[in-house]
Amino acid sequence: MTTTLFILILLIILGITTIGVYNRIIATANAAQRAWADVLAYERQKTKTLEALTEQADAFKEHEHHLMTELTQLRESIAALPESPNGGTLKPVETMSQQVVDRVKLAVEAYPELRSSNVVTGFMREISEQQANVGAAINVFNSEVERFNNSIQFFLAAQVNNLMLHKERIVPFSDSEAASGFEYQPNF
Amino acid sequence: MNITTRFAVWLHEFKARIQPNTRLFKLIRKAEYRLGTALSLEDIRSIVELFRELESPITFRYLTVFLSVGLASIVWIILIAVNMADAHGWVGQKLPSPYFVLQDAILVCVTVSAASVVFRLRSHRRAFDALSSDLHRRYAYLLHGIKTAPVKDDLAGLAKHFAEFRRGDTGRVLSNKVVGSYQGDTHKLSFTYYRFRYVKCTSDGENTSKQEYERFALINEFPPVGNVLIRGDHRAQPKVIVITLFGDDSGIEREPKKQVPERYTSSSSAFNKRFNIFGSTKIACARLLKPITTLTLLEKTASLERLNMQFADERLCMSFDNKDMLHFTTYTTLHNPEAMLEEMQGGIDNYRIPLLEHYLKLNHRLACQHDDNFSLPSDKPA
Repeated sequence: MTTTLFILILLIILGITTIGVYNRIIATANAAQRAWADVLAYERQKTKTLEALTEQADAFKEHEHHLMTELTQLRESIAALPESPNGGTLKPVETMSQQVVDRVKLAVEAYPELRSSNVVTGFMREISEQQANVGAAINVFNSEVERFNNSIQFFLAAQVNNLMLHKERIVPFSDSEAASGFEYQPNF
Repeated sequence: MNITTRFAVWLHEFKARIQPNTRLFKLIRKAEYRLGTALSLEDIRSIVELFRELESPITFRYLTVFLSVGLASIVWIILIAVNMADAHGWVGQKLPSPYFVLQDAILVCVTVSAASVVFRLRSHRRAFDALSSDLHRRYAYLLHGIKTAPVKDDLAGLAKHFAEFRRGDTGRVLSNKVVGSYQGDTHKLSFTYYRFRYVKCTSDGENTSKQEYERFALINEFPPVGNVLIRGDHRAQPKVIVITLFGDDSGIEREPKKQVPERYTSSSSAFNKRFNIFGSTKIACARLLKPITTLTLLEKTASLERLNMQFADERLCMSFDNKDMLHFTTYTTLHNPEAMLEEMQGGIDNYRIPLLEHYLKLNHRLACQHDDNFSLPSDKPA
């Protein structure tokens, strides 16, 4: 009788723990998905702002053909980003995006009539803000990815995930170029 | 030299010794009066210069205290000795009863006058120390372009828009108000700092007790973002906040469906763990909590305890428990006027108000994140 009761209590505890762990994995996966959606949304918004800027400034169209081509490529790359979270796929988009923004800044600097235009200045501010938002969204995404990866790798959570959910570890966004610039290299 | 001349010389020396106290006290009164009407940095420095005429380091002389306390002690000892002699019969005959009345009167007079000398000097010394800090405070405020202002009937207007000022059930009062403006790269933000006290009644069924709380608020202009409350003070129950976010007495006209604020969660778990978010609509919350805003608030507001932020009426109200928002550190006092003047000449670098500067800078940054980039006050940074 005592053994049966003991096993019953153990099963109840195990059941409650499993439900808790299962729900936590789902919650963290959804949080990572939402953070990824934010990254995509702000990336797309940035491209739209860049397009709006180039539409405003005729000088871009006349003299900066490369810029228009790069902008199209960037739009296509962002459109090709997967809907499921994956920080690894962001790397080329971020590099390209940085190049386009730098080129736009250079072009604005090169044409005094652009520099003096209030609309163009407004767009430039908007682009800087969008970039900051993308950076912050990636930051939030990485911390949500960390929480999710922890939730599927910790003891018990890993077992629940392997048995019931089969969720894969999400790759966080990392900038290998920036990391290579550091003298210190972590040993993992 | 006869005895009269000797006494006259001694009296003159004695007066010379205690005169600095009188001179210093007169200077303190004069400085306090001039401080009340001082309008510029020059005015404040000229007040400090008044004290240069005294010998440095400036302190009160304790001669009168020593003399009066010493005299009182001697009188006490003599009278106690006389009483003991009388009690033990060392003197031939018993002292008459009028003597004891006279003795009590002398004791009272001597003790009271000694005590009054001690307390008067203590209050003068306090006034002197307070004057040093008042001069530094006024100087710092002038350097930062801030000033104290009368509270008047601000509370009603604040309570109309900000839930923070509807706390408490039996009493609310604004006790301090400081106003100023912050010139950032893009915007000039007017700000007001309040000290707010409220009383809450708690009842355990039989007994009702009143508890007084103190909160501080920094309010500044902010681009219109709707009505959103970011609550980090977890003492207040969500239900209370829901009721008080807009409040029935708010007088704000709203659609019936929007009477109750909506709960929102941001995309950052760390932010959601630290703050609860309520807003007039979820869209207002989502618009406000861009990733950069979320991250900025999360990283830059750690030093404020029980922080609440409410965006309403084109203003941002940050309320918190920290008492040291206007705190600054100085190293000199009027004891050494030369050093004090030197510190004052050092300008704003010697009068940093770190918390206030940090949060005004933060609020400016937040305002830049939510302004309209196409209609900014100036194209070039100021």
